[in-house]
Amino acid sequence: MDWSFIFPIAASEIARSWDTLNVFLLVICVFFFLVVIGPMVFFAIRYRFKPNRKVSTVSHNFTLEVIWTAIPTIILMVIFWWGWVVYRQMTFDLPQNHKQVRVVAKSWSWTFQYEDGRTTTNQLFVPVDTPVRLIMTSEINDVLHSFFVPNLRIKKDLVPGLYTNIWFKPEIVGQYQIFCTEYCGAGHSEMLGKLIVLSKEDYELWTWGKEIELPPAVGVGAIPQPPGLVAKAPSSSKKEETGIQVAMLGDAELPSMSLVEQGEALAASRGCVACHSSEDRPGIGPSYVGLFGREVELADGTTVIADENYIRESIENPHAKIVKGYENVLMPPYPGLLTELELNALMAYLKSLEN
Amino acid sequence: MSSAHANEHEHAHHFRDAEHQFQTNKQGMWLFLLQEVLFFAPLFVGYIIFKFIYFDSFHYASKQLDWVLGSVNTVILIVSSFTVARAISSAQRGNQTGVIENLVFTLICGLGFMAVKAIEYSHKIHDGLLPGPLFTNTAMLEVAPEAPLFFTFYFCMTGLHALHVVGGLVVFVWLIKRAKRGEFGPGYYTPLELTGLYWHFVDLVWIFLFPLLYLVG
Amino acid sequence: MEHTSPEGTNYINYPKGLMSWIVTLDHKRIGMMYFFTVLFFFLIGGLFALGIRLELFEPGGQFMTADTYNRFFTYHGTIMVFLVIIPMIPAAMGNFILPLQLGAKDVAFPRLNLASYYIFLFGAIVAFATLFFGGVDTGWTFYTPYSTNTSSAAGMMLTAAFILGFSSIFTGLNFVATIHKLRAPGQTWMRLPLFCWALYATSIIQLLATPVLALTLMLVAIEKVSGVGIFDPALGGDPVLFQHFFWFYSHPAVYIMVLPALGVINEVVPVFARRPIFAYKAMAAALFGIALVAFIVWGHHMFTSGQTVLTNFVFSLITMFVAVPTGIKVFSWLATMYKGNIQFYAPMLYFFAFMFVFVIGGLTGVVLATLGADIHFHDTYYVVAHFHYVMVGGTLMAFMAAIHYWFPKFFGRMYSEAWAKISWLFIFIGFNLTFFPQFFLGFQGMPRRYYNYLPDYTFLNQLSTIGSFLVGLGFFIAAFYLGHALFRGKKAPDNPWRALTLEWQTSSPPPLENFRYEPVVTHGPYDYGPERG
Repeated sequence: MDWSFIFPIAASEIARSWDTLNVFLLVICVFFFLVVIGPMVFFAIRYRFKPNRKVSTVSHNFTLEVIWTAIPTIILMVIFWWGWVVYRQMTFDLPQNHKQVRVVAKSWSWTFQYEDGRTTTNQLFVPVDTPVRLIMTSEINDVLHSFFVPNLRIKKDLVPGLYTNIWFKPEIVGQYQIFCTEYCGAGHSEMLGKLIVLSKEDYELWTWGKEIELPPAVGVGAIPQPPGLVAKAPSSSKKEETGIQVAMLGDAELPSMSLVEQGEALAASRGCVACHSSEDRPGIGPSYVGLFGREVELADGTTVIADENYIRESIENPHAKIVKGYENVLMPPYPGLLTELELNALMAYLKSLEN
Repeated sequence: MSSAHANEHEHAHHFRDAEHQFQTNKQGMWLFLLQEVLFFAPLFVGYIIFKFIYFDSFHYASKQLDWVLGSVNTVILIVSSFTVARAISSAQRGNQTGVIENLVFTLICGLGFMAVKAIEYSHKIHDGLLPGPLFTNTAMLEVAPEAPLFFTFYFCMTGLHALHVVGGLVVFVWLIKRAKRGEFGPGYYTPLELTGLYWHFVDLVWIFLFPLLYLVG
Repeated sequence: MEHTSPEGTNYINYPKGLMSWIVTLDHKRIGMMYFFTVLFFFLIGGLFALGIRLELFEPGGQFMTADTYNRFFTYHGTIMVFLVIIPMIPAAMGNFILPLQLGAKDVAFPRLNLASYYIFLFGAIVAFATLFFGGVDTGWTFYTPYSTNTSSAAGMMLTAAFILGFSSIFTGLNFVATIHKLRAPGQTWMRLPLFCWALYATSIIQLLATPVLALTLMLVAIEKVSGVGIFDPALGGDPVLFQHFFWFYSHPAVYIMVLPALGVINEVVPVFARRPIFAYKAMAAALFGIALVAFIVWGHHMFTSGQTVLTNFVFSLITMFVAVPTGIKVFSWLATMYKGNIQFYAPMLYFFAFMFVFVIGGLTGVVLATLGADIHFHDTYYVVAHFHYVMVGGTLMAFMAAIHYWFPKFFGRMYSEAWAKISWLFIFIGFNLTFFPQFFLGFQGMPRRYYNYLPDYTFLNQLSTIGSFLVGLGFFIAAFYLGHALFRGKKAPDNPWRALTLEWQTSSPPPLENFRYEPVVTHGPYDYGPERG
């Protein structure tokens, strides 16, 4: 029996875990539906109106009431716990060794920025059986979007001015549908993408800029769209027709600098290095070495973890959180002076100085 | 005075008696005030959240507020709550002059509050300390980049409060007119009671607003 | 105004004249004005729905652009939520029935009641006026920064919602005071009809939640006009803060929609099963349990918004608890059928339909509350199916039950049971055909608010569209036989259902002053039994 009308192809372990949870939930739903509607139909027939039928006036039954309060409560707690476990897997089980891709959404396209410094539009290339973490945001002047891959069962909103993240480890080679799933205006339903999971060999070729044949579409979106039926995409979209079985390259030329190198160059060209050193010595401002991911002590005594959101805020609005010992220094704010892609490069650079 | 008792037993047809109507009206006003609390709440919550996020900016901007004028306004409102309560007790004792005098004094206090507010607002306008894009004090932006957001909250919260004060003052004018006609007495003083409740609420909102915006460093 | 009406008159024909309706203080007339106004808005909201379903019959554009489609679903949502389902049972039915069930002559504040109606009308006019200013395309949820950036007439619609909020607040305020203060002698708390308890719980939500929405929407409108930057990140604001403020109202709002429906069901089942309701106290308490939990679960609309893991944990956990009092009610209704003597009049048929769809809606709500599961389902058609099952399925079925139950009381006429059953069939089958396939669309990952969709989703969308037209046909039939009954129906006796609650102890329709005697309550509202069977 092909259950894919309920469970689209599950392309990862977490997707399978989700499926198991939802089989359980379906069983519970069907069970309770029958437990309620069964007796309802039965009583409706059994106790249908007959003149002179003797009705009951019993309006309490302590045991029954306890049972139908306690048992659902217990079942609900089990459901909650299982749901929490799956969510925890989705959120925390990311292995240490993973690839990172940065995602910037704008109405109505996706830009993916890889560690090797290149960017692609609407196509996200990843190798199979490898964990990938996405660090995502929307352009600052844009709106909310949400990144959704049904066959992986993953979803997260993209918020301007904030970084959210998500991870996955696809296990089947193929092209998977990416949807935007937070309403964003006229092009919302055209903001489609493809997650292209390549075999390790093909991925290797792709990183060297060689031509490869794209794998077939898998799961949702596998049915070819008849030509001309697609609604005209709004003009600001850079969506390409991802035809099937066509050999294609990522749509950017191979960059000469990796993302980290781009970030290092930016730190120099934008004047960050005047105050922040990339060696472990104090400057006018705190050093970048070991900064990323570290617990930072602020002037008001509280501590905060130096993650993407902290760093972004420190660039855009440095006075929001002043580091202890630097109270008298006034870092000029850089609001809007760096594009999202540039910020991503800086982040990658800082991350590389983690130790 | 007979007119004070003339409508003692007048009540709407769906109430048992005047007392029943009075108690129900009071409950209605309490319910209205309850939802007003929830109406102000998102502004308070929003302010607190942004103060937490943009602590330095908000702290700096808050120091621009004149706490002396704010304190004067606090005293004015507290006194006016006292006088409106005295107006009610005057009515309960049938003291017509007391009712009128206390209502007038409350009105004067309310007008005084608005006058002080006008002075404060004019200072802010003069210094360019206005909400969002209307903020023109570029010097302050260097040290407090989120000052415009602070002033958005400042004007929204004190403005909404001031609107409620003005609404109350309009009602007080109407009450003074009715009091002069001798409509209030031991048998009937419902409008005084309800307006008094409303006025205490307006006072209470200010008592939370003032420390939150002006004092908490 | 004279409050003793001549013998033989009722609230419809006495006092006479159009003016007497326009400035009426009579809760029954105000209730009827709401009733017909809400039905009219339901027609319009329904037409928008049919427009959506027609457009979605095939992938790609059929007969409208994406911009138009976005307006269609915005108007469908805004009209149905603010102009139909929220006022539906409380303002239309509650206004009429509440004082009668309490044995009162009117609500506590009749003039406030009339003001509520005119505020409602005014808000509706502003809402419809937006159609002439470019329409609104933000969705009824007005998420920022889209709503602050869009050039459509969103600011005007926000103002309309603000105005409508006060109508809702004043109705709630009125009902609470009425229930506290205007009960007839003998009408103790434990003898209150459960419909009154339901209106009480609903009114508390209306009072406490609506002001938060009013202020939030005001802030968005201010931000649109002046760019102050509370919610727009480009101006230093926080878009997720908007979501918190919005859902803090809008989640309790759905219980404003559902609780009165549960109240209606509480009335209908004992009458047509001819036996007392099971677990009266638990039924009343459950209403408040639901209302209470309603306030602390709003974050379950935001599991993927980027809020913290802890936040998600807490909201998922607490949301689960809504199901407990709801379950108590569902099981208690079953127990009320047990050893009853069940009459298959239209109100009871709508009870059966209600149970069928409400249980599905409720169970799928538990699925959505499940953290891991929701990640896939959020913002897909699974959610659309869920909320239509509870709101349309639940509230609307209960509203239909209420219309048929109280039709004789409102209009002094009986409707045609035969036609009611035909209409019921179309509505029930059509409803399930419309929305059940949408659960599968959700499993398949079809996102919401999609003008165009992948060919994979075509078949299920077509089923859904066909279903929607069946529903439309069902309501059309209902309008027909009910309209006919209004003028030509058989004259109704005072108490055609032999019910025990106070509204049935006066004429159908009631006179201006509700009761031509002083009502005194001497027994509970559901004391059906062998003597009274």
